[in-house]
Amino acid sequence: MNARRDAAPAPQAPPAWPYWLTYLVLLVLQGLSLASAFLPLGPFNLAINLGIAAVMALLVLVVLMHLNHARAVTRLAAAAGFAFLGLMLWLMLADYLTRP
Amino acid sequence: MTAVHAVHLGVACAVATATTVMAARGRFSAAYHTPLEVTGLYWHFVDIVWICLYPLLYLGGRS
Repeated sequence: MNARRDAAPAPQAPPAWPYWLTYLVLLVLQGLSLASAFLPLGPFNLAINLGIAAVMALLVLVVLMHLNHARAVTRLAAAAGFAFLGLMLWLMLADYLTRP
Repeated sequence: MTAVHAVHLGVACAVATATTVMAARGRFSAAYHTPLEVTGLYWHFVDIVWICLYPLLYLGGRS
């Protein structure tokens, strides 16, 4: 967000194909997630779907939100946010899933 | 949760429309395009929320 540093070099427009590739991969993962929801796997359905969702979220974070060419401080801040989100979800589920 | 997400999505659509109009008027350049970056970040935040909500709200109990 440092305007002076952002403005210094005239940046080249990045190629568009990584974004289209990510879009395709996200669509395929979405299809996998939907298809796997119809398999009779018991509690593993939710685990598989949440795992696929985590991969999709990481793809969006890294490619679409430009963390793959962000500075180290930006990556650290994003990773800290992601880790704390996981911590809060874990504590919430530790409450809900262990209720009698 | 769906309603809160709808509010987020409405805000994101409004902001994206505003930046589209600004871009059409030639307000951005290679040297200044921070509003576009910020709009993209917000849009993808809303996107990630839906990626997490979708399996929780819609995919449960289908097998």
